[in-house]
Amino acid sequence: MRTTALNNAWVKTRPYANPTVLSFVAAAILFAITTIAAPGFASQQHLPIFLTEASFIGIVAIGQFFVIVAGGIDLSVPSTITASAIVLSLLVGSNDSAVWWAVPAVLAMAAGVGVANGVGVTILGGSPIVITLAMNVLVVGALIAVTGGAKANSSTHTIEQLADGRIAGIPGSVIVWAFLYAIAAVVMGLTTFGRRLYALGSRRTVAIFSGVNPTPNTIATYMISAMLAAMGGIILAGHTGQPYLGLGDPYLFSSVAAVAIGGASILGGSGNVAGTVAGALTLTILQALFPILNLSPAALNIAYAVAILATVAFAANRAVTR
Amino acid sequence: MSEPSSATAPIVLGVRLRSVLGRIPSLGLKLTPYLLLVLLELVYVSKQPDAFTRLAIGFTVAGGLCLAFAAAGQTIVIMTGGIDLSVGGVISLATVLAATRYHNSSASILAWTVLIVLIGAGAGALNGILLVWLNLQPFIVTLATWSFWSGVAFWILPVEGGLIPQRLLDWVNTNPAGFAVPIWILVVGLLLWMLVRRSALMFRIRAIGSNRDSAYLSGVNVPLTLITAYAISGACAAAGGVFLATQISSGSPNIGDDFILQAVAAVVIGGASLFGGNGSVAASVAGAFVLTLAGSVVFALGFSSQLEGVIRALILAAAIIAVSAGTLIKRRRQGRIA
Repeated sequence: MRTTALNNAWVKTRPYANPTVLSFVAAAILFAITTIAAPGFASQQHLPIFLTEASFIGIVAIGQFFVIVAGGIDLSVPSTITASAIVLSLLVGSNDSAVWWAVPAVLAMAAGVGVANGVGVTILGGSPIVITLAMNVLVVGALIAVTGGAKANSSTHTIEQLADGRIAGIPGSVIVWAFLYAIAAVVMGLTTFGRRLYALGSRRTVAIFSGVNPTPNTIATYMISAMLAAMGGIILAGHTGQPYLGLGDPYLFSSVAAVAIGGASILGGSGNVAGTVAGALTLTILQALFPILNLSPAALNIAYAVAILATVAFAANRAVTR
Repeated sequence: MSEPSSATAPIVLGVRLRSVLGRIPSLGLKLTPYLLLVLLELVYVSKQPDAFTRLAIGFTVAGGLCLAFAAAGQTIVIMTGGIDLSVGGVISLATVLAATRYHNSSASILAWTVLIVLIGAGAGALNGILLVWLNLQPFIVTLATWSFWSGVAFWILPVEGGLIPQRLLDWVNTNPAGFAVPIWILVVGLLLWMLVRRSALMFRIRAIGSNRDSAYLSGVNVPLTLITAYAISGACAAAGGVFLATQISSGSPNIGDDFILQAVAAVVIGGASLFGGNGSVAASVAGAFVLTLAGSVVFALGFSSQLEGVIRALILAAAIIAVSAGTLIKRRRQGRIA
């Protein structure tokens, strides 16, 4: 479908046609419905709990966003989350002072996983799906081989505070989420690195001929994704107190879904980091809304499907008219 | 053309030799999944001598048949350059339908099996329709439909349970002509692939995978071919799900999730590129049994079963490196820039 330049300009002046704006509108409508159905939902007691739940998806989705914008996908997120949570718990144990070197150590380990993903995709030339899928299996396998699959207890004060401690009533995980979002928004919106990622994702060949070196930039996206997944794992370790194998499994689906619902094209090259916030909120509200309405997990799964298809279809149709 | 004279004979021989030698890397690549399978089977048999009986092979085939079905369907989709994550939901749906709808009569079992496979084909066709009609990516469409069909499976049977009729369980455990039923299913499936692998449909599917625009300009009906490819994948997944239900004697609304990434891994071990254009169902089925057998071998070698994941990952990594190396060699020969 071809449209005239005039038509194009009109599309751009419709703020409600922006998929990111729309995803926030959808999240707000869902929030309103949930609050009407259960007035306690928006109470001062419950709101921090709700935001904490959303922050886990939100943090991981920011990392997934970097990879997707540059035209890749990261399926190694679940095992990176699980491994980070368990390794952190094993390193720290109940020794609170160990946190200060254990957290950077876990983040460095995750960075290594991300770099390996990036090298696999760029230098080996593998498909992102295959490389990150193999990495997902490998990380879980290595974790079991090293730790023997034992459950780890982590009940140190600092990690728990990081996840659930309140500053002015705001949970620590939400502050971490906001902080990471702010950095990501600045990087994607204001730096040349961000512009390069959008360029690589929209037209790879053109980007390369325009002087973007694809290898280091792509590797960087996978590194960022793995480190943010590790950050999610660290906070989850503090939140659950007892990380277990399979802790990260739900985040494969929800991180990709949050990016897609947030209006980013899964092909890369478009989208806004803010969309991941709306996506994380939407998924978490749906999760809360369905038990309130006495609907089964079956209906929740179907609602996820509809939410993803509806938002992605809208974003895709917009891309055609652009 | 005249016969080559005696003076040019060594040159002709040399050229022929070079073309034969030149085919070794790609031939080796094609044989990799089968060689891996033979290697694993040899290791397994050396540790467990009774593993090479018809009975034991029947058990191995039964253990990997659902994955083999899912991988076979996945191959067709990957040949188009797509991916089908919805097989997880479809497999779960098939097991819960089998566990709740079958009655203990041959007519009911036969009718519902056909119906479940058709439902699977319909679910697959829906993927194709959505991604053609809405012009969306296969990954995101099938991610959504995976969630959708899981939801439907949860709705039909919220917890693992249900009942598979004894008549069907008994039939699966029979040995017509001395071989177990799963072996027959596998053989018939592979023969079917041999029949269709050079058909016009498979040619169109490969054409779309290697270059969709060229395929379209050459007169391939791209939307219809894509819908057919996804329908085949859905039907295969549903058939695998029905078989899985006979193995666990029940239905489970989330059992299919384990098969999604494993099916993709099996296709990769089978040597197909996820960028599309090539792939062999037989090789992917071999890949599926490589993954299945890896677990048995780890157990037979006396390693802890926890190492199973590591072994599988290493096999997958080896396959990826082999495929990448093969592609690099091919590119260098064709004189293209890597």
